[in-house]
Amino acid sequence: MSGDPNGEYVIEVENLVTHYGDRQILKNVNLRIRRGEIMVIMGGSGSGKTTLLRHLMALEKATSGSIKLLGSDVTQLNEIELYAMCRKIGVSFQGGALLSSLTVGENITLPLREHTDLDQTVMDIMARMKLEVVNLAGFENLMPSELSGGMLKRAALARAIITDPALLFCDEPSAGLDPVVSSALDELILRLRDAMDMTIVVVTHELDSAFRIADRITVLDQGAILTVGTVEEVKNSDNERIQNLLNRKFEVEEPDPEEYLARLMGHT
Amino acid sequence: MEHAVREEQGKLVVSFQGEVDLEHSPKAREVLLGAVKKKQDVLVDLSEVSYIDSSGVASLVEAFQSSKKAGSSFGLVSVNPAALRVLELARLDRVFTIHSTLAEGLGGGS
Repeated sequence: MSGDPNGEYVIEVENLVTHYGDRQILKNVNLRIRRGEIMVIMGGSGSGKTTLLRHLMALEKATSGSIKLLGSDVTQLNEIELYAMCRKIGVSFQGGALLSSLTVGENITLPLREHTDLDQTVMDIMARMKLEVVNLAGFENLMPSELSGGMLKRAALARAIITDPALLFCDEPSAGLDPVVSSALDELILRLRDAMDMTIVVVTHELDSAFRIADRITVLDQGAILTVGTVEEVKNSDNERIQNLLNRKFEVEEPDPEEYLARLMGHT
Repeated sequence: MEHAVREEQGKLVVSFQGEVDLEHSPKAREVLLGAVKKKQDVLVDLSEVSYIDSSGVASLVEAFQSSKKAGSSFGLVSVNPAALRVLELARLDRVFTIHSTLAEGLGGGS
């Protein structure tokens, strides 16, 4: 591991509360992540894990609470300050989110064109370097539609790391991939952390992947943190909801008849 | 980022100090390409570089390629472990000639 146990915290979430309309999505979330640490966020569907990740990417507005990235509270930053912060953050979206009208190389250099005035030759070399890192050397002139699912995810990762960000956020990086490709992607995430000292937050529901890469795991349930711990601590937890998640058991709550009827009628 | 260029034993020694990052790499690139244009062998001393990012490394790659075209040699000197990890990640440690000391670079050629 890296994630020096005495290292400084580069991500600090305090008392984060979020609503979508009347619905509370995140309930007083507190989380701190150290430099060089790989934190995996897990939880069932609707647990709030993607919402939490979007908050860390400064893509969501919190109802209350604070989110400090590299010492700056992103809930308080103005647009210019947020723009500067974006250079320090890499994001690999679920599905890749590459622009279909641009080549792989153009997609990868997009953040550089947005945030820097580097010479085109330098940007092209950087793109090829990152493609080497993700084992897609020579693919820069292909269109995204010509790549397989695993290749798209790796290309998205190459784009996410093009600015050598201090913080890397990955949403379901290995979802839908076969085990071999998924394992290779996990190795890549570990290599990135080790070589570039990145702090990496990964949202995933792939248990094998989570256990391979995580220094610590945060388990979310119904918008609240159930536990934060090492892989072993989470595996050995005696919390029934955590064990259900690990054993892929879905709890079906007994509905309140009135609420259920209202839900079916679309009144909630 | 600070830089200095001097001549030693017929080679141009380009030294950088501080961080060669997105903000400073355009200047580093200008210095490197300027040195390579002189068609002399070039040694880039990175011993005082606390951080070099991919844009800095890409500038080194571009200068290296230019020096090859010009028929000159191009070597790196005193690459610190953090920078070496960045080079290794992109397998560039196999591309560049890396000397552990300036004396080695000056004496052994590159």
